[in-house]
Amino acid sequence: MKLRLRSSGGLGALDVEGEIDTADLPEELARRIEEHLTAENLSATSVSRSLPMPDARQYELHFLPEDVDGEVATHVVDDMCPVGEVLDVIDDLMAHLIERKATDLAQEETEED
Amino acid sequence: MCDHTTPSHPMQCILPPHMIEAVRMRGDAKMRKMCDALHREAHKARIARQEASPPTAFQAAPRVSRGAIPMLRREVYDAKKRATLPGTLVRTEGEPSNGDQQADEAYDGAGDTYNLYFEQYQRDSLDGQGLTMKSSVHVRRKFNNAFWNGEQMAYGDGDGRIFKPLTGSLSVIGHELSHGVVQFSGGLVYQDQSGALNESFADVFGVLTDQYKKGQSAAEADWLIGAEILGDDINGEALRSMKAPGAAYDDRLLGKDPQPFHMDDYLNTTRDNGGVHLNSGIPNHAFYLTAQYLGGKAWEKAGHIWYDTLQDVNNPHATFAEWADMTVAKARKRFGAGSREAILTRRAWKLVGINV
Repeated sequence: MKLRLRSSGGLGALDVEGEIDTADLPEELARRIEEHLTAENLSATSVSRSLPMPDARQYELHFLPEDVDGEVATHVVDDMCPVGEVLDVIDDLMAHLIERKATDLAQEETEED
Repeated sequence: MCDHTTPSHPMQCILPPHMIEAVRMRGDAKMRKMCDALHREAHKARIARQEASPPTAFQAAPRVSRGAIPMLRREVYDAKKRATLPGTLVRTEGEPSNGDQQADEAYDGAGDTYNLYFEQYQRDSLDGQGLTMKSSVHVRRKFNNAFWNGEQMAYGDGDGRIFKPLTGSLSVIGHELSHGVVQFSGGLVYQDQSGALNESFADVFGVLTDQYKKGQSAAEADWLIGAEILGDDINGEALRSMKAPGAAYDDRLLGKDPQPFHMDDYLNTTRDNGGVHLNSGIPNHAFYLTAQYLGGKAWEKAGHIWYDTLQDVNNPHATFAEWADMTVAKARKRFGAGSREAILTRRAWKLVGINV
């Protein structure tokens, strides 16, 4: 499964964005994505049906289609999401994206040197 | 978007959420009741977790009489790295520390914030009626955020790379609790300019909490929000700077601080609820300039002008221009029509591109 996570807002208003292929993730995290980032869980908690609360971060999840004719499924949740397991998975994906970006930057710096 | 798969009230489909919020905040008891019902319906899933309650009144908080005894009540919970709030109660008012640094910081910071509002603005807690200040620490894993959920504070520990534990900054604690003050003062809808004013008020009283605790004058203060929580390797000095919006950080991982300080650079965006954390740089800088012009301790004159404005703004969708107008009106009322304070408040707004 491939997905794009795009996060904005929050106290620091820091934007984090990146594409993730579950095949590149640790098995346990990939399993939790399949288990918890379901259309049912995400539809029930979409921020499009709620009022924004101060400093809650928003997370756009774009599930990329398996084939060229497929459609991107998009869900938006925020820090007020009532399904803890969804936020747990998002936290791990955010950490993954931040670490990956930091590693890439460190590598670029090494190459520049 | 309206969800047609579940039964819903027609108003829920017609009115966007911010309008329902406005009606609820401005309306009488019957309207509030109806909007609350809509709110509950649209938020079934959320309410199942925490029964997030709406602002209870659209009116200025009652002022306690001078010399009144503060009745501070705090509760700190440990979320144990889970998302479910509030978690396990670890400290209540008057109890000794349990040795958890973040719990102590949340407890002490709530007290410092309470003291500013009580001693300077005669406000008894966030709602003006002695509300217990609840905070949860250790929320989620590597969580780079802190937020106000309508009932309580939630603080992450940060991931150690971008942020350290967010309770480490008193300006952050004062900021988050001030969102509660905004809510219980009638609210500023968290979208576009009114949302940026909500953010700005929280920044203003966040830094004032820090300055009040330290006894700093406007000239001595650093005017930074979250200076203590940036990761050690981040190239920056804070999350935001009221003195120099747009210059708080410039880092390869985080990017550059995007805040404008003038209306010429106002950011039109759909992200971040219409750029509430971005365009707040404009009113933030107006407050900073006002405080510098007026001199002395910022909570004494500038703080009172901004606090009086919140109490009477009476428009949850207030624009920057409307807010600016009211600050000048409040300065005139408090200090006199031709007072130095009123003239300099007006001048501060002019310098950020808002003519009053």
